[in-house]
Amino acid sequence: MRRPLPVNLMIGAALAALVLLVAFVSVFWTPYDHAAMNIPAKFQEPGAAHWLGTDQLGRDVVSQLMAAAANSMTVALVAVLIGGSIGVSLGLLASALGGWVEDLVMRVADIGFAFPALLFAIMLAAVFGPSLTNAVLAIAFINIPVFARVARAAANQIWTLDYVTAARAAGIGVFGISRDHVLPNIAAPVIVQATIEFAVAILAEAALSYLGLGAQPPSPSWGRMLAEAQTLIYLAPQLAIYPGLCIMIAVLGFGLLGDGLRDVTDPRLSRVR
Amino acid sequence: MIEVEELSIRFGAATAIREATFTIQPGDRIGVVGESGCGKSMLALSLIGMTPEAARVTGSIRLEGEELAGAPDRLWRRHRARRVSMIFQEPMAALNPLKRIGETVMEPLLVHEGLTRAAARARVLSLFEEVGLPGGRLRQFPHEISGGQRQRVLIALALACNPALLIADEPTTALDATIALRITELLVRLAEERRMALLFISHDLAAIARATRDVMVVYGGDIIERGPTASVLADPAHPYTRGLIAARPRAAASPRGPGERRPRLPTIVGAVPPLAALPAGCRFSGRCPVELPVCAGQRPEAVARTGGGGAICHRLGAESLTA
Repeated sequence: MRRPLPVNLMIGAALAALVLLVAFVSVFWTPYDHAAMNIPAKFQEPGAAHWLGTDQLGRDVVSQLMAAAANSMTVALVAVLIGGSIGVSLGLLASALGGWVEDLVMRVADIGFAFPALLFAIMLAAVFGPSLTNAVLAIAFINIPVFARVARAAANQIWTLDYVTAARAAGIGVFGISRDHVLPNIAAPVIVQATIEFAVAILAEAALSYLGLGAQPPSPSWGRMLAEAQTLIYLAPQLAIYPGLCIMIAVLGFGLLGDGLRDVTDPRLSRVR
Repeated sequence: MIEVEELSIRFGAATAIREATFTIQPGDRIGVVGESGCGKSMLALSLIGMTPEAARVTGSIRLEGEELAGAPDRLWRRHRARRVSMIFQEPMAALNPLKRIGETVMEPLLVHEGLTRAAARARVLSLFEEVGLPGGRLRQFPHEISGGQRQRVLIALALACNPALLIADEPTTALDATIALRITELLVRLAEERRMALLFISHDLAAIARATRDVMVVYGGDIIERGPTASVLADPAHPYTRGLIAARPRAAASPRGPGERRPRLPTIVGAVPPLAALPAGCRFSGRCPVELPVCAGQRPEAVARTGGGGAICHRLGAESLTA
């Protein structure tokens, strides 16, 4: 008998799918051009023309939120892909070679853990100027040690299994075993971690953009919308609430999805329901 | 083909194998018998260079003249699959659950022989036929086939690059009796057809009797008796071998009539001591029913057996001196 899927997985999947769908649609269609200003129509109430009203420059809020979703998803995806592939490779390498290589990789990862992402992003911004690319690199960088640790821990377990021994007895080298036998079998924990890191990356991108270190105007970003709305909080509090809600939905969605996937793929860690 | 001389395997103060010397020639079928924890598997792993990292291997292992005792993994790797292959006890765990079985068997062919995928596929098909697997199974995953079939897949994997020696470490222990018999027969047939040497490790004396021509009895890291399988099983010289043979379960020992009690299965008194606590002299002293005062402290010399081969036991030495 199949166990029912956990609630957190279903809620998370629904929210994440919603955000991804909106982001995807915004690439082809938004109600208005997200950057088109219309000063006479500023601070409009939500209504038929502008579903969530307009901001201080008369820009359509829905269009901005949608375009920002696409930005946010792209940043998170690229950052997790870069950080994940480098991190997983390092973790596999550490696990395959063991000895001083493993010690070195894991100690460097420890240092990476101690290094705040914001600090790194500010450093990058100071050297290369603030940009979305630098934000992506900063988020990718902080992801490397996370993935290295997860991959190494999972890979070390796989290396003790009989089918790895059988592959060694068949004369397959450590890199071949890592690629053909270890990597496919650590996919589950890595994918779970990637989903959780996706949520973290969305939050980090929002934070960096809020600080002006990420998306530059007119490129839309939830974090930047939040920063712009901050000065208008008494005049038009809804302008701060909308992007805040979007960040919350996206982070919650991917966070719950990651937790749910973990519950499904690793029954030992699942809570008693 | 393989010459092993004074091979010792130590873990810190513990000795897993003590000064083992033997040779394996092409076409030999040699059994290794002994209780759990007496060093059988360690001996097997040392012949393919896969002893655990903590193990210290000394002495000499010459594979076709090349000295490989204590050689690094990358030197051994060139010989695995092509010279020496190994199959393991747990066919259930020894196949990657995410790989099609055909792909698994194909892997060494692609790595070692540089075959194209099409050529490798053809070889895998003929290997499957050789081990008695239908070619249609090629694209199946391990969970789709039975334990006996998995062991056949592992045998195909081990034979892929035509090794000169196949080490089978308890290949039938995890299988049920009828399947075990078939796998044993398959191994013997393959060894004969390919003129491949077979090192068959088991504690199942019936399987050893069926599969091997010569046998080495291992206890506490010493090869305490060796000789032609039939002679050793019929007329064991060493008290440990005698105990081992007496302790095997037999159908004849079942109750013969109503009311008759099943006789107790004879056992060897005590248990194998931990490797670090083995007696310095004869490893079997302390458990031996015919122990002499000299046994615990002094290592017995090898003495020739009547049926060929030899055994190490002070009793035999004393008898041969008096005879």
